Amino acid sequence: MNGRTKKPRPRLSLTRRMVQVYTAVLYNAHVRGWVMGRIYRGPLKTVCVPGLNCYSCPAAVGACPLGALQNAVAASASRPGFYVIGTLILFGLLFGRVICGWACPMGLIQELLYKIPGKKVKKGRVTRGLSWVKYAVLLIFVLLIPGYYALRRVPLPAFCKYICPAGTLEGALGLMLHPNNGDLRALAGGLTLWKLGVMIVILAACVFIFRAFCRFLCPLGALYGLLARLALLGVKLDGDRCVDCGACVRVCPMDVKAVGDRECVHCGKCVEACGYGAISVRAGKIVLAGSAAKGTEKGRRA
Amino acid sequence: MKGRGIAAARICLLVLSLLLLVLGALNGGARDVFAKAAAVCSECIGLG
Repeated sequence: MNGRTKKPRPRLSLTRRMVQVYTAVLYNAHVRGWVMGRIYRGPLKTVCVPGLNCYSCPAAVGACPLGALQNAVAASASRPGFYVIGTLILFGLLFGRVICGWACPMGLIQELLYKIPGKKVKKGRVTRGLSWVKYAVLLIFVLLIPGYYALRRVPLPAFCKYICPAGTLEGALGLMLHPNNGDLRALAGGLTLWKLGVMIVILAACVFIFRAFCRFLCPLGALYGLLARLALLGVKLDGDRCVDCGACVRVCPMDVKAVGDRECVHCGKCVEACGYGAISVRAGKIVLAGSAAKGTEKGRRA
Repeated sequence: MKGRGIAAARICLLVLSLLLLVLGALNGGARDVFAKAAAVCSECIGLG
């Protein structure tokens, strides 16, 4: 007996993909928006969805949390953005970066792009270093620039305006390509071209680099990453069963140093790869997926 | 930070987030989110 326990169900990846597709459809359930070329304006737009999904997408039924945060910062001189901050803390606390791995349409798009065959960039010191850039993006484009312009009473959601590929892909293309929206196309200019260029570069990078936007640029992932240790839901490591073989970190396509750290999007690949049943998906103490084999590897070796 | 510390931090943040949500709903923050989300965001779609 080599001490290995039964491997957990390989169905986890399939389940995750189904959840990703389901949430992407759920966030964008206003099908009539695509037909009419108009965005949804109903009361659900008061609620932020957890993942990155542009509220100017014709099909979007909820508000983008990142857009809402920037606008809350921009309006902070007159009204503190309690509602958005409370929402983001609640999401981060309950789900953490499970949202990135399971409930973000941009994450799904990036993973599908990565399936295009070709040479792939492996993770390493450089990608690990680049993973810090998203924290700078969060600080500069989501907090500082909108905050600075808020003092001048000028709303400037800098991330939405200059970077966000979700806004270009879902909002700009979704609205501007519709035959009814010639008036919007007429307004397109330099900024439209800039955003289109940024989106093309980001999406092209995702073909070669796993979740390039998510790993290096997404401020929403950075924000949820800050609450990674406190998040209720996610992959958790059982220290008693772990033999420090490193299989979990090796199989992980993200820049993690340990299971469940700030870079982990809880995709569950490590759950499937761990031969010792040391990793499981948990909601608090409740095991949702992963091996529940009895005994401990360290105990057996002792 | 282990066990009890994490549980305490979770409870504190949960209470804080719910408090902020209620305050935000009362101070008009929810209305602001709706107002922005229910209109086409010109910055998001690259129009300025």
